[in-house]
Amino acid sequence: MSDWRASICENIVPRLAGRVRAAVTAALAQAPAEPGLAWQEIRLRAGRPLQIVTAGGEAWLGADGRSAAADGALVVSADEVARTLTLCVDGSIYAWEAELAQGFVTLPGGHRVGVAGRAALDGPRVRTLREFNALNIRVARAVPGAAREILAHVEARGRVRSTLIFSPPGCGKTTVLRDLVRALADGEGSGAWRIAVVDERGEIAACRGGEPQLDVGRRTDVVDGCPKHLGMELALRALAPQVIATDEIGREEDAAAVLDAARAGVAVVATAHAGSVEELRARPVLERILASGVFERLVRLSREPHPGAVAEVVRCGAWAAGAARGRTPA
Amino acid sequence: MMLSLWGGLLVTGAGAALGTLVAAGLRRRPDELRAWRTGLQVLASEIGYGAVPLPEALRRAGAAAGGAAGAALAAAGARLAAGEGAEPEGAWHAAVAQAQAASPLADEDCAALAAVAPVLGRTGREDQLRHLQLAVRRLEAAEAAAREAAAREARLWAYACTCGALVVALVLA
Repeated sequence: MSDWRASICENIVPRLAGRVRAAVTAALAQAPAEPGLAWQEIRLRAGRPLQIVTAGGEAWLGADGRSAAADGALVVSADEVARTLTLCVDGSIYAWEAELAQGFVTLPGGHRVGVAGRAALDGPRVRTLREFNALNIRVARAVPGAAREILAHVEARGRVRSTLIFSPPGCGKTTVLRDLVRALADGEGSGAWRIAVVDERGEIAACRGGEPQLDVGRRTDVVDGCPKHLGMELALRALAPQVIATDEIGREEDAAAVLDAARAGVAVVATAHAGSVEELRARPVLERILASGVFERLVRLSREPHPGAVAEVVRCGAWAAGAARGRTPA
Repeated sequence: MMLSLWGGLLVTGAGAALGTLVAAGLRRRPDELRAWRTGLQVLASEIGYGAVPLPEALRRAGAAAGGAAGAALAAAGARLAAGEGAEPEGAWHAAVAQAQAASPLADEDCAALAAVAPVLGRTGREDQLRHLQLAVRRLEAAEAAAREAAAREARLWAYACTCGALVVALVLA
């Protein structure tokens, strides 16, 4: 059985409630093994048909695991949604309240379960979710070699350049960042580096019970579930990293943390959502970080010819100097 | 004559033993309820203050409770930890059934315990604590009643069985 099917069988299937488990097990047995048709998501919505999403499209599943028309597919009940989530958290919803407040839990194997339900508020903050009505089980796949293209731009002449990786959603930023961290930590470039991953949403290392479920390398420490600015401060103080890696910067407090890290002589590799350099600069916090000259390279990723492909590399030295003098960079 | 004497003594002894056995059973129920109460209190503490995942919380509660209650709680934890799709509700019901088979729990004791099953692990900490504390209070009341009944009825059973056996022995003689 192919890796993606084996991983679903081992880590996801035992956590599905009765009828859903039977349908998914049957569908997996019939699924073609080609990586191009690998499952990406299993979606359970209360009162709606069971759905799987693959690289090739989406399908509704019947109770026998075969593709079906939407009105002939297995309709998932609210109880099945709740029971599946209970199984995903080892029967301990109470132990996952912080994660549920963020809207996801992580399964062994790094698979993520996005959760929709009624929010219980504590002032302006979401304390937790309850009355769960939908689960989106996203199938995690490590892509070894995803960072091969970008590695040469990030590491050169025996040092790691601070780099901002950007793209619109769905172009593989997190996958590339994760593999880049692994490659740097395992010494696949010119040297091996001590890396601290500040994984606020658990998307890079996908920790469960403190253990990274996805390979982030041998010399990597993970600060899990911690707001980025606090996590970077903690990493600088306690972990003596040579590189700090983090996902999706863009908040006010992130800017100060990135600048602090740079001033401490630590390279920062981060990602941000933007379709172009202009879109990056349109975000005041990112514009300020870029103008400070912290990042030496901006790397834009694209879905074509494959997710995670390097589409553009911008050298920032001259630009930052120009921005500091109030000129529009070339 | 000697044979009748020995026979009489044997019957009386058997009656006394039966009375002691019944009395011991009556005295065991409050002890078993106390063990469950201890187990539930530890479980509430592990869940409410430590947010310890349920399989481990049940194992710790089982170790603290001891006896048939402890064994049943530990078995429920092991069932959940096995990761074979067991759900807390089913594991809890199985634990209660196991304890009832191995100890003199009354049906109303089991009903108080079973009331925990539908919510166990399925809600937030505060709600878990509320349900577990409610079950503890119900067990506390059941234990007090069982202890009173044991004190009253255990001696009665012991005397009744011994005296009954004595009467039978005299009749036979």
